[in-house]
Amino acid sequence: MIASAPLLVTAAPLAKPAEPVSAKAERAATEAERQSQRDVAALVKQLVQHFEQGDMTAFENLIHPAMVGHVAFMRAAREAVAAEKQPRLQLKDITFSQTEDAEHIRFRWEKRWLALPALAPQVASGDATFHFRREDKSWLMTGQAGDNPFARHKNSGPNSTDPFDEVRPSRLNHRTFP
Amino acid sequence: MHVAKLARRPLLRPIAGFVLFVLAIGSAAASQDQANEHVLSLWAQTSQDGTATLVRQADGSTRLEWRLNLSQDVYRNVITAPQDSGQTITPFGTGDFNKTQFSTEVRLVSTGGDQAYLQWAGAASNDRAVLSRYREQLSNLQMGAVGPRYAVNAGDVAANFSQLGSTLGLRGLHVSRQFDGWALASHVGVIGESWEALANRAALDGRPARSRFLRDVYGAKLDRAWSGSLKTFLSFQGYEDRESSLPQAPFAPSTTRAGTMGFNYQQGQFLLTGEAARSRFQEKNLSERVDRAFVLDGTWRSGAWAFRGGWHDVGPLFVSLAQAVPPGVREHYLGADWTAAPWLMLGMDARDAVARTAALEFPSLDPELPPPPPLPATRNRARTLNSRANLNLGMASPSWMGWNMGVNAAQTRSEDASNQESSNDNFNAMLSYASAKWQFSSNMGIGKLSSAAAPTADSRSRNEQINLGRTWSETTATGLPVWSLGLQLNLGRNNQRLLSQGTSTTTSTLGVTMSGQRTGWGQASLALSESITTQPNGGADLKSRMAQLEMTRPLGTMNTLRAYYRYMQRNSGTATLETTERVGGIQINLIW
Repeated sequence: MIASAPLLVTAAPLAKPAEPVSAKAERAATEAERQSQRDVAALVKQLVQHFEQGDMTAFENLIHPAMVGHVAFMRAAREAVAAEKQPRLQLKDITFSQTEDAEHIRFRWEKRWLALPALAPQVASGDATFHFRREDKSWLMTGQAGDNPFARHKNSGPNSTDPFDEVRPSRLNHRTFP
Repeated sequence: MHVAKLARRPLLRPIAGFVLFVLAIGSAAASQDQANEHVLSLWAQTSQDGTATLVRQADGSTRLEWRLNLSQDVYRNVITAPQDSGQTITPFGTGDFNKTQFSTEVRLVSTGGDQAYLQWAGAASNDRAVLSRYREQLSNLQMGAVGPRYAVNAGDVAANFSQLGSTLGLRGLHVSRQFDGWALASHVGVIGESWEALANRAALDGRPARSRFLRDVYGAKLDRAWSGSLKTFLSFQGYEDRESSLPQAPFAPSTTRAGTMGFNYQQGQFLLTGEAARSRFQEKNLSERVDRAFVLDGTWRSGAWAFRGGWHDVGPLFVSLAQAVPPGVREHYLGADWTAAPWLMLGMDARDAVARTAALEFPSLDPELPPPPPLPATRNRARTLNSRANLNLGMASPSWMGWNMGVNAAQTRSEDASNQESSNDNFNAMLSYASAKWQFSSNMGIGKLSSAAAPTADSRSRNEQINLGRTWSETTATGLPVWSLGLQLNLGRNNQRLLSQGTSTTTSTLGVTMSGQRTGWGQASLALSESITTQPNGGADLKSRMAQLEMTRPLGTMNTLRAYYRYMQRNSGTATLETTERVGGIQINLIW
């Protein structure tokens, strides 16, 4: 694990005041919107890199302070970093939808790591959706659904399907949200 | 000790050779994993500069323009992995691969400000590490029209009603309309894993196109602006699974209806939002489950202070179209940032969260078999305290210009459903310096993890990292860059002691990156690194080595040609883990 400079984040609450349609129309698909896609793509890459490098301070700086489930998400990520050595997270099959101030991306992931204490090779996979929202000029992650790649996993293979996962009560809301 | 070992290696010889080869050097850094780069670039590609623009004519009318971005990769992978390791060690396979990515956008703007647009992005590849299930994939398809008081979008649309209302991406239609003081938004569509799953297209891996039901979704939201400060809203949404879309599913289809009401209040630097919701969720052959959810969040800035706080209570059986809201969360948080002096910023966030699951029963999917055993209710709690300080030393004294220092402490205490406690404490300190020519940063961190439920994971960790960079550049008299050259060196060490075993593992890394660019010529970079990891259970050290060369040459003003080569040897010294990946390829990016 390495550290990075603390970033003082004072983001607005997630539910922002409704924006007039006229303002949206003026800004629809402007260069700023296209820039947002680049920014969010870079943000996903940073999340993955910080997780792989174990830099949880930088990782947390990219998470919205008002994200519902913030504690559980960060706790899971910190535990994973402590237990999984040399994690490699690969993303593929990305699809996305967007508005001018929010993006949802869905992807399939595969994670490979060496499990302590024997450094045994492990692999797990899943489907996840990440949600991002623009806060002033920067973007922050506001939610995650599906299989969380930033959590501890058991060795389940690169094409795992775990039916039990689908009926776990805590995942009621995620069951058919790919 | 390990860093010293690395330093003795002849790492600098290839660097010297590269200097003669490089056109110029700048600030590009080698990526950790080019595979992710490939995939993410597809997503970002739709937003490249070459998207359609419109030119307004002298008579006030508009002209339609379209733009097409096309990227073609041809590359060869040579992968060696332990026998019978399958895809456990590496996702890549040996072979010649190609990858095509495209995006296009057509846009028309009328004289009244109305716009109509179509955007489309997709990819094709024979590399299953990039596109795992299909040779071609539709990544995004969206079309619509927007005007001063309306918006109609179809295809891959995002609904973002509120925290507890519809917040999801769907394939369908999204319409919004504004009236005086009122706004109405509505969506209808379907959720599927992809356009390919929606079409039930046969996948290359032989598995079903869908692993989940297709879900029909709908929703509407009504906003009312009472004043410039206060807005309220009502929303209603729901879904229904298509049972026939997934034969022999291992779980039952379900339906949900959820209603929410909320407000936004903003006065100066004070912002408060709140929402209450109620949902009715039903799985096939089970009784209806009703639950509620509440959220309240606020921020306030006053002088040197910024405060934030919130309270979230989501019932364990609450199911809405707020895709990323986990059921069962009850949490509150309070945080503040204080600019104590121009050179000193202090911050703190405290959080307390309870995660609950309800006792649940499950229907039998086969009438002749008994239903699965019910799951008991669970409850666990976690509390975190994150405190930090950032010192901009240059603001305190001009002689320290460019220097920054920061410290961060994060503590987590948790109790699981069996009241077994665990803790995770981390402390990091950072010192950095940046000027036009020199960059320096050093990080030090210590961590402690203990868990009564899983004591084998108890450990202490210690991390150190140093980065040093030097930049050379030349600009014209008017300040335009001519060339730049950069060199970066990084050293790192991570040690983790496993308390229950009484053993430890240490990873030491050494890396050098050279990069640069020259206007009109292009840019190039070379990254080299080595690392050594000791095994906690004994055995040979795991040695890894990486070299990555990348060159980009502009073709005209908008197109580029890129060549890359990456060599990565992982964990040599252990037959069961040793892997070598060689990837070399050419990429051309064209914009019409």
